[in-house]
Amino acid sequence: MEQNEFDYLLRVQNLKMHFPVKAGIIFDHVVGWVKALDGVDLTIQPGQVVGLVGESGSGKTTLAKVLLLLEKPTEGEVLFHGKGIHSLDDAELKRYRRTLQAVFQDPFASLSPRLRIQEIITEPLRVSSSLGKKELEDKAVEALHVVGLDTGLRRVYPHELSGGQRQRVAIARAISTESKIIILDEPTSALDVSVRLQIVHLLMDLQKNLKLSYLLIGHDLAMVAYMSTEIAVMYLGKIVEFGETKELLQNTAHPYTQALIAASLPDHPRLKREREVISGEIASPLNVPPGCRFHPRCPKKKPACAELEPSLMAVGKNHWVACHPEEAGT
Amino acid sequence: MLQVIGLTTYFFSFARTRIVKAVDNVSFEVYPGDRLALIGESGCGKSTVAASLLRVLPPSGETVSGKVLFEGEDLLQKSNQEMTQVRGKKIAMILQDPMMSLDPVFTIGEQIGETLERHTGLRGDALMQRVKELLLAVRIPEPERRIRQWPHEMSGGMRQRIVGSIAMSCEPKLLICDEATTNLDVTIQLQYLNLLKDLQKHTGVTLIFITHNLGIVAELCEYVIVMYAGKIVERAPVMDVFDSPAHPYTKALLDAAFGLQDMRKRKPIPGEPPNLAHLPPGCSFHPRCEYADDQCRKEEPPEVALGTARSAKCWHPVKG
Repeated sequence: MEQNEFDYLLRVQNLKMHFPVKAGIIFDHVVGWVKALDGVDLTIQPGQVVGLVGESGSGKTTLAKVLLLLEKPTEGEVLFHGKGIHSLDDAELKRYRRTLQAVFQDPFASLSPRLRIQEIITEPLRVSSSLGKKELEDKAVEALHVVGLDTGLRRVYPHELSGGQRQRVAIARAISTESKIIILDEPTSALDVSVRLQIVHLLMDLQKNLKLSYLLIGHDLAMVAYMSTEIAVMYLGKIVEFGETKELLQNTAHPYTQALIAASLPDHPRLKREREVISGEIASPLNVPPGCRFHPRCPKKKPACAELEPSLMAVGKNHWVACHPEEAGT
Repeated sequence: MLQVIGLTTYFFSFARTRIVKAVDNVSFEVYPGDRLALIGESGCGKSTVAASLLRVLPPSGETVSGKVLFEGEDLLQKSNQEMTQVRGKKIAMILQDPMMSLDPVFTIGEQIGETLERHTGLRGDALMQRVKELLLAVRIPEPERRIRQWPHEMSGGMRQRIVGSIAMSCEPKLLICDEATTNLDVTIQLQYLNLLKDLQKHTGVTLIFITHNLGIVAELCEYVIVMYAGKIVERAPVMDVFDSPAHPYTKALLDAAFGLQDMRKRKPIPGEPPNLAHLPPGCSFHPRCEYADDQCRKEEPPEVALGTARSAKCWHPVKG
């Protein structure tokens, strides 16, 4: 199959992930469904950094898990070179796993304490290729060099490294397979404030130099906006707004995105202002409200919002929003 | 109201051969009604300051010298018995993780009631009445139903508000919030910060915010103390800190913070935070400082006053 046949790297189509809630001990039966993902569409193109923001419980991490083949979705598909990732044959699966890598939040949990740094970095390569010992070592040296670590560190164990160094190792592992897409799940949340920006800049440089695409999951809108070319805002298992970063921040269309921006804290005490805080909390994905899932908290809700679920509609160039337009409710 | 003089807390390990100087000669004052921010990154000693004030250090920690004068009395000289009359009653604290601060095997009503029962004469119906008032004060609807619920039935934001109601139950004079909103989502965080502001308006409680989030400082603090490697490196009113940070570390923190209002390229801080067991000689920040010279590498800088209510512990304070 030709690489250039498709203009996307990954295409998520109407993805649903419903987890059953069971009751009973011996004769357990399903009493409800947690709708962690409830119809997500998303495309990642080469060179894009797609930021995924939303509150806890909005389904960001579940989406990452489906992409990493850790969960099998209830419905919908993720297309990779035109084929669903859950029906790839062995050779294709190896290629998919080489193409898609991940960096997780906590570098203390994501690196095995029993392996040396070199083994950690080259493990995905050992699994997916037939490189010899010497070649693997060269790869490890090269990857360490690229992420700005001393290459001598390849012989040590993770406990000898600081949080920032460990996260660099996790990044080195992710790029060692010459991956094209890296899923970054809160890559800086567990790091010291003074180290965060180093890692962010490293990731941005790598993205440019190695022509990578990222799916960046984060709850800090300011950080996500700093890194991303596109932002997708999730709420209760659905994408409610998608757009190019600048466009989305300037012409914010969804009331939830507006609330997220309003709730973010000021950069300077002089910029602080009185603002309305949206009331309430995110509903349980066990009990998704009918109609628009945001309507119980929405300051602009109209009668139609409680009945009809809005779908994503274009409001600008490459800017989509799932919200009933003003006139629809009146 | 609170005066901390030369507070020094060390952690000992390996049979006292290894000393971690978590808090080193820290002095500051808090005035009634203040909203003070204590900022710095993890490991700078800000939480240890709070634990030293309330004398709740882990067993390996010890306050080796200093005074903590609260309403004229030195808390470090009090007996454990006397301290129980201070903790929760006069000084209360809200910690980062509401899942850890609440006991999973007691109902919400019992946990709020416990503090009240210990420090006030309230019992029975009067006690439960007060518990319900406290829940309403932190904007938890239907207190009647909530007092019979368990912590696991609540969301993170609601749990943190319950911790807030326990902290406020005996109308303390001083409330220490140690990363109290770090685990909350942004919309819930703002709700919580507004709640704290309202509580202060109604009760006049003095607030100390321990945080690494400069947004919280900008949003509601009046005075800022910056800590690095166990020492105070800068203190100033909030406007001065953001307009013209004097210590290179403060400046670097501001330059590295992400902002939605200012999307320009940010400048990272080089290097990593120091190991408190092996601090560099001279100024602790010098290996990461762009202004460092030979003097900084050899001699520890003094704290120099820069106008009223402002100082920086630096040989070469940044000019605003």
